[in-house]
Amino acid sequence: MMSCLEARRLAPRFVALELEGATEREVREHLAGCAACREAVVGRDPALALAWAVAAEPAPADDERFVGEVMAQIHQRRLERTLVRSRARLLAAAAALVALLGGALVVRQLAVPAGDGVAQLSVAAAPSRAAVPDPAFVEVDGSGAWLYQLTPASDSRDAIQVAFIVDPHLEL
Amino acid sequence: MGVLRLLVREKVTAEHDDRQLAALARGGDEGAFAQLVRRHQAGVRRCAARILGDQEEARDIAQLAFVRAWENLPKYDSAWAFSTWVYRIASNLAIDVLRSRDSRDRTHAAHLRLVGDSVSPSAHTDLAEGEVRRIFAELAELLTPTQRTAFVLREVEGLATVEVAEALGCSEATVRNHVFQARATLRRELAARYPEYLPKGGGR
Repeated sequence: MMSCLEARRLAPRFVALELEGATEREVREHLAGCAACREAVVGRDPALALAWAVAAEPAPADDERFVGEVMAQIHQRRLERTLVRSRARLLAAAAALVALLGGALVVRQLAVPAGDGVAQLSVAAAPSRAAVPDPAFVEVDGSGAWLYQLTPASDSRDAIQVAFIVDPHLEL
Repeated sequence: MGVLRLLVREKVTAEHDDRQLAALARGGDEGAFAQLVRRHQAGVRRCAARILGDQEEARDIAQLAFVRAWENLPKYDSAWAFSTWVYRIASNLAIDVLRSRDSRDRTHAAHLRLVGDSVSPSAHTDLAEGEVRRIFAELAELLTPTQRTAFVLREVEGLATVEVAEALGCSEATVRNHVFQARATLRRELAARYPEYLPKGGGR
């Protein structure tokens, strides 16, 4: 424990912020328990009296509700991030599917010899929904998603049939 | 067996120190992080309140500081105390709030409030609880956000200069400069506005 004599000797350097580390900590500890030395230091800088008076005020009580609110915010942010990641994965899969089908169409057109007549595609009705008035697309099971079906005009065995399922609710 | 040991989450107890709890929390242990919040929430809230001069705002900032701490646990350097790290986050958030405030209006409002208080017959020479908070809130409005934060962390919270430098992301010399400036302003304004609170023979 630092003596009052030593604390008074170091007081000018303490006020001038010239002390560091263990020495500074020892002076602080001494001042915390010695009103006379504290008064001597405050005489050099009254702003320290204000700081110490503020420091002496009690801290807020332990608040379990505060802890609960912090953890709830953490859970909420984690959930939000999970939803964003899921949506990004879904969009990426949809984009990959469209790219794959588009690529298949291009490959098909390039692979067919000229004059074969299958390069032209026409829109046909979905086989299971022949009664639907507009043959270009049908709604899938009332889910709001639309099935677009493209079939080649030729019956050639090289012809491919392409279908797109589009959910208008997807934000692309 | 090793895999099984890894799967069994270590039970958080009061004996764990902050660094152990931070390591567990980094592995996803929410109980460990809740324990850290429990340990340090009072200090962080008090520090934020002293910087901001507003208890409710300080509560919000302290909560946000802990959420940011959770999100940035992989960046936590265990060479520093966990509390210093959270103080750093909270201080920076509080500085942002101070900078975004209309400080002129707030100073004016605080001053008017204090003029009314200081002429009350209960004025006395001791710095009473509550009165200290009001005087400090008034005078601290005259400091820059960084001066105010450096003063609170070093002189009120008792952090070492090197810890304040870490919290503010600046050099120790810069911290000393901020604290000196803050103390000079507080000394001058205390003498001008509340001479009755100056110690006898003080202000040398």
